[in-house]
Amino acid sequence: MKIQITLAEYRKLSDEELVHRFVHRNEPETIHVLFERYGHLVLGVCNNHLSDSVEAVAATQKIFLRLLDDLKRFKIENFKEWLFKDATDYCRQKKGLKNSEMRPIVEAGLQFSETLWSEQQVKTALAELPEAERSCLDLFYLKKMTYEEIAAGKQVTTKEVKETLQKGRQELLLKIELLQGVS
Amino acid sequence: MKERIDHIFESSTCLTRRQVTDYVNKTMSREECLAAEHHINSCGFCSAALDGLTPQILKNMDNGFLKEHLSLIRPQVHLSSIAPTASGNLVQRRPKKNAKAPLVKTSSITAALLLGFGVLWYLQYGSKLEPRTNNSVVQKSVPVSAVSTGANLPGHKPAEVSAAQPQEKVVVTEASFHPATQPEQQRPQPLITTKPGEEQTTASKTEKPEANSAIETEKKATENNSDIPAAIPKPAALPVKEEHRATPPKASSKKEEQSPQELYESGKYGAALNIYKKQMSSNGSRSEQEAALQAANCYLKLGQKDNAVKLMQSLVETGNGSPRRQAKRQLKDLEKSEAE
Repeated sequence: MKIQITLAEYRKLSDEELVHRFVHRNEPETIHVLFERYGHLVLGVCNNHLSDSVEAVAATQKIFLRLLDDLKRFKIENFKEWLFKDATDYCRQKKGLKNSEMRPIVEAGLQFSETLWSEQQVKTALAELPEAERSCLDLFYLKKMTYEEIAAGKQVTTKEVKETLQKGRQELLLKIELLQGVS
Repeated sequence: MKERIDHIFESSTCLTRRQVTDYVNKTMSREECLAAEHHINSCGFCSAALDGLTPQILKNMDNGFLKEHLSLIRPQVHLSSIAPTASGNLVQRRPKKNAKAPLVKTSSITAALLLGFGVLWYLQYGSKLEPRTNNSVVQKSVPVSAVSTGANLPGHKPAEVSAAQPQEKVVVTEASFHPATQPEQQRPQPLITTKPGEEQTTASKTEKPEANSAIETEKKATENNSDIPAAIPKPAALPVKEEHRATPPKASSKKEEQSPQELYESGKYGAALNIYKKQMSSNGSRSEQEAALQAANCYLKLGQKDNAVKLMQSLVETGNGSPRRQAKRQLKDLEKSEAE
């Protein structure tokens, strides 16, 4: 017997549960919830690539309509990652470029746990980073400054601060991995 | 230190639309902004999205297209939409193109059938009826003449009647009477339609002027009858009438007065044969053929089968119309009877 659940209850479900419900139970509410979660992000990605708001909106609609079929055709384990790649590839195709290679969106988190890394390893890895990245990471994570505050202090743009932080974070993770391998 | 470093690798859910809008519009609180930037650092999707998002473009986003698409894929059935189907209106009957067409069609078919049957009936029996009607006229003339002579009426005085209405004239009028050729005004109503009882009363009254006037009108009618165009076929009894005209009336010679048909019916085949032989030689082709047929019948009755067969064969060879057909039929019957 099919149990009717409200939209609020759907919002509590994870991406994978929503996909499962759509694929196996054919519940259209799940797609609405997924669009609520990622529609604006897909639009931002499309606009970032296409630089045209109208085309970006059309591309977003096209991606989500294509998604209705793709969810049933492919076995999708990480929905967010898959959607990001799909949106990026669509925009690149639209621009006449080749598809991007699959790259991990979330580099950290699940791969690391308290048991796997120690405070000393992090300190060592931070010390090995370039000065610009290390200072940004220090200002952002330890001194809890926002992008704008860091950008104002260093007299750079917020985008540059963001990119420096992302780059320093990735390198930090790589260095910790290396330190774990050595130890 | 470890607690502060831990959240570098924390994974959090992506920014909501409201959060993104607030972040883009810079309406977030500092704490919220720090949390959002923490996530942006770890999430490439949100980071890439925020690079392309502006306050204007977020207003254009709508999920109406998904609702439309899903409603097209899965149309929702409401009870109100089921109601007409349940009432049996799902199958719409086509309006008949021509509602009056079947009536016209059936009536035309029936008319055609009736016409066809009428033609068939005429071909089968209509041609046979012609001599019968003539005979009926001839037969009719007999009782009328008998009435006029008073032969069949009890207590009637033949002498008076004969004096009042000459037999010849009566016979002539009866024989010459033909409903198709006579106009309504010239028809001698009392002479034909009167019953024997009525006739008796008229005869007893002996209204000579009226009778004479009636006879005169009859004479005129016969004169007019001679003016009938040749296209209208005269009845077969006409020759008998002419014969009677030619010969003066004789009250005693009943044999001559009697028609050959009557003679035949009364069993006087010889006398009938003689009359028929005369008719064969003196009359037109149609009546001649009929007379020949009747003569053949007389021969058959008299036992002269060969003569009868000869006459019928000649009729079959030279004749036409109903006499020929009758002769053919009778010949076949004869052959069958001989074979048996």
